[in-house]
Amino acid sequence: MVRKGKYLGEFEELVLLSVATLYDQAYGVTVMQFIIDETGRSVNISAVHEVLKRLERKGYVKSKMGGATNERGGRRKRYFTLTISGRKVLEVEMTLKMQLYNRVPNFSFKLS
Amino acid sequence: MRYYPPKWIDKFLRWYCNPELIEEIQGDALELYYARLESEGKRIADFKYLIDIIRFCRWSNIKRTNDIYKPNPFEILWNLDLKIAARSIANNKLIFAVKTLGLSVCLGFALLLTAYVVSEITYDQHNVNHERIFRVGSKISFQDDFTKYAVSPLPLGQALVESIPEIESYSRFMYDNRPIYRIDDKIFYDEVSMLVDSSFLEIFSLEFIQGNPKSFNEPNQIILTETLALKMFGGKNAVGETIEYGDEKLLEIVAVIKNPPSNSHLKFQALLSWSTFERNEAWDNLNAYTYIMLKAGVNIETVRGKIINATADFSELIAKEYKASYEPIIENLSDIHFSEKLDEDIAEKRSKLNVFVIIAIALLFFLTGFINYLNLALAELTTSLKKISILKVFGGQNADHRKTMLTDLLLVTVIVFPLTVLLIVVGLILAQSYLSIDIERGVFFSSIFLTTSLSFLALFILSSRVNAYVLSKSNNIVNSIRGKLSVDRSGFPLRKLLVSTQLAFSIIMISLIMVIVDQMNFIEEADKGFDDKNSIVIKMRSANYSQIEVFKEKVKGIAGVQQLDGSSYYPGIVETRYIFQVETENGLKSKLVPTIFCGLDYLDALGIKIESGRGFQAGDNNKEAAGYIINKAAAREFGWDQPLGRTINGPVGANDNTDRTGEVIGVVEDFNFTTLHNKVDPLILFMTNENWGSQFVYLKVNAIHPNNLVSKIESEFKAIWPEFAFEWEYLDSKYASLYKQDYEIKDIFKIGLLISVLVSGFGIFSVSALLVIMRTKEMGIRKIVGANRAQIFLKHMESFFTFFLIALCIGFPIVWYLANQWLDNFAYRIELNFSYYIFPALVALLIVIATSGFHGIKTSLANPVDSLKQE
Repeated sequence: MVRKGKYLGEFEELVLLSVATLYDQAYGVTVMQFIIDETGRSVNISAVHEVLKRLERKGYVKSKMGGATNERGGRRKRYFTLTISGRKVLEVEMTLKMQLYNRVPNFSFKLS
Repeated sequence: MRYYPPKWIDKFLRWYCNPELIEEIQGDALELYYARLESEGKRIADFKYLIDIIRFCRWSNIKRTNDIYKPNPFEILWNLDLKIAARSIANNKLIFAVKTLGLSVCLGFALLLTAYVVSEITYDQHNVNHERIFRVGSKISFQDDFTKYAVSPLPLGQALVESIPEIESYSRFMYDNRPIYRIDDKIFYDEVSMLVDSSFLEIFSLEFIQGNPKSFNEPNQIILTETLALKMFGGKNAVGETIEYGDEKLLEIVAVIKNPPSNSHLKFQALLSWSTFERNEAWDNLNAYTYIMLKAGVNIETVRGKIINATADFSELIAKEYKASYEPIIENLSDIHFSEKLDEDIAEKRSKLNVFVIIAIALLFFLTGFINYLNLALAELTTSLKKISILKVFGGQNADHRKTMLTDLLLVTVIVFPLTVLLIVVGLILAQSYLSIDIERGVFFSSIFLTTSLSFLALFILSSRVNAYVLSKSNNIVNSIRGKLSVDRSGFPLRKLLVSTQLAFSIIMISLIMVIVDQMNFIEEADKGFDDKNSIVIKMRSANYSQIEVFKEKVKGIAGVQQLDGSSYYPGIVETRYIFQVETENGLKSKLVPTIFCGLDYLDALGIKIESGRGFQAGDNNKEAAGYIINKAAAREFGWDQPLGRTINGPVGANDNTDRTGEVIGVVEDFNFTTLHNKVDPLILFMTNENWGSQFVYLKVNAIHPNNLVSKIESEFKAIWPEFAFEWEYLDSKYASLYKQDYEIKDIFKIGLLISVLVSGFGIFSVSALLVIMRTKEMGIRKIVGANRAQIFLKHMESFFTFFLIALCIGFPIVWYLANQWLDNFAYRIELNFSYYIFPALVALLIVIATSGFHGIKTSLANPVDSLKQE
């Protein structure tokens, strides 16, 4: 459920979508890489971490530790997965946007 | 080879970061690092690693969670519930404002008063040897009357040192009368100058800024104070320069010293060496201020008898020549400020009683500020009592009340401290400009002041424990969770009493200020017996009789001048007394009587009424057949029903040239030649001649006179005495300035009034806040049962009427006592009537209604459901 007064920010939505897409591979570095690849934006790892923490606080994702590798000097990663409420908020947001978008008169989808 | 980012970056990370998060943060950062190592090279990879770590440095990564106990120095800071404190402030903005403002005002005022008291108590104690220094004055008893002087015969000091081994040294000085200094073409008038001998430098502690003379024995030497040196020479070195003195002398500057502190009875701008002037060093020259310094460890009592012995010869001399007796008056240097005022005493006096009163007031303000603060803090806490109690029940770290207390204390201190300091600074400036009360900066750093302030602080911290204690009583905890919001009423009566006292204080202030204003008005309008309006006084610097006569003639001719003449009188200086021989049933008796000598037209110029006989005529200043005029008080004093024609001889003893004999030719109505503080003393007037010149010339001018009247007079003056300064003033403003201390008191009380009204307002507000919270439930029930808003309002106010009544009971007797005490200062005064009691009481009532009414209205408007739904 979207909490009253606490809406999903734009970047938060992006990160949430990345986590949803990456399924069980989502952690700091992969999410960051995904955003850079897909949107072309340059994001910093600390920003991604922060948003992931925030999303967890809001209950849209949950996390657990796991997967130490050599590249990380034996340090484990924190994996993030979508929760049901996270999934719900994504859907609600999307539907809302489409509704509003369809109400704009004389807009075609394609810009020539 | 295995590359790794620079170690110091990791150190930085480990320092700031919450240990729980280090693993994932560092892990991700490293992963990126190795990826970049491949594509961009080590340098860039290192750089970007650093950027990443820096950008990770944010509060959410730094903050430690409470479960981890980390004993490091920042613990307190992390654990401060700043948010909670800020929230509580935002919720109770008014209470917070009143709390801190009230405390600052009270504290500031109390500390200011303390500083004043300290400065008064340590008067003259900046002199290192003050315990060993004593001033010797003279008590001259003359038949049934005596006068105490602060001065002594010139040779006294030397005689004492020679005959009494316990006295180590002495110092004497005299004041120089209206000196004029000249440098090149700059003239300096009226810089207070003392003529001191060399031992002055040793006995009194002076701080030398320039120069360091071993002795001050040579004639024509002068020491300047810092301000005077600045005035004369700007910033440059003054030592070695010369100044012209008057017409004749050139003085050499041998040193510059720091200004004497404001709490010193010796106030001067320059010191001249004693040997600069010749003077009559005989025993009957009673004009030197003499101070003796005892050897270390000597008690003054052992020396007292010896001093009396040493002056025995002098006593006999006086007895024979003047039929009077002499006794030395010995007082310790630091006692001078509080002792009684002697004739020719230069010291500013304060009564010790005043000082105690001020201490009491300071304490009252201080206590008040705290009690208010505590009341309000308690009121605040009670609103969140439920939350606190629940936390306590859960126990653990959150139950510890200390965090909230600490934050609260810290916040209050952070705001109150600068506010208090600001108020003190403002207060100092105001005191200086309006009351000319100067408090040395040094006082604020003296041990007494610091100890007092620290004890205030300690009391403050301790007293906030009181609240904590009250809240932690287990009754309260259980009750509040149950729903009973009220707090135990322990300690409340004490607070009630204090609030009543504050209110009484306001009543006293208002009443006293009314009394003072009325008395001052009375003084201004009272008939002094002479007309000081439209009168100008001009100071004569020359004693040359003929020159003065010429001047008077010239000025008479100026348009606008009605009448003028000279006299020896000047409002404010101690009246001169001379010995006269007056006719009584038992023959001629000697009496010491205040005297004015004046010119023919003087009485006319001042509008003094002649009751019987006539005014002065030409010839009345004859030596053999002089004419004297006395006032009615004198006639009463001498026991004359028929004063006209009685014989008077005198002034006696001055010298043969000035003696006269004659009879009374006229009697004047009593006029107040001193202030209305004193009853009119007997007065003898006689006419001036070559031997008795005029020191002042009085002019009566028309109410409407030409603008350039004064400048015309000035040009006449300069024509005769080009080298002297032309000093003039209006008589009425001079006379008014005699009441300077009384006007100062008026100003002090005005400010005191404002502050006490403010503080009582705070006090009542705080108690009202508490009361309201305590009685919420009660009010709620009353409303439901059917009371309307007005009744609720009145119910709330009822409790304050008791305050009001108690305040009246305390206040009225004190008003009566204090007002009469102050009015007793005046020989002519108003009487107290009902209005001085009723009006302040009404004002106090207004204060009570206004401040408690705020809460009263809130209560009456509150929804009873809110207060009752706790159950």
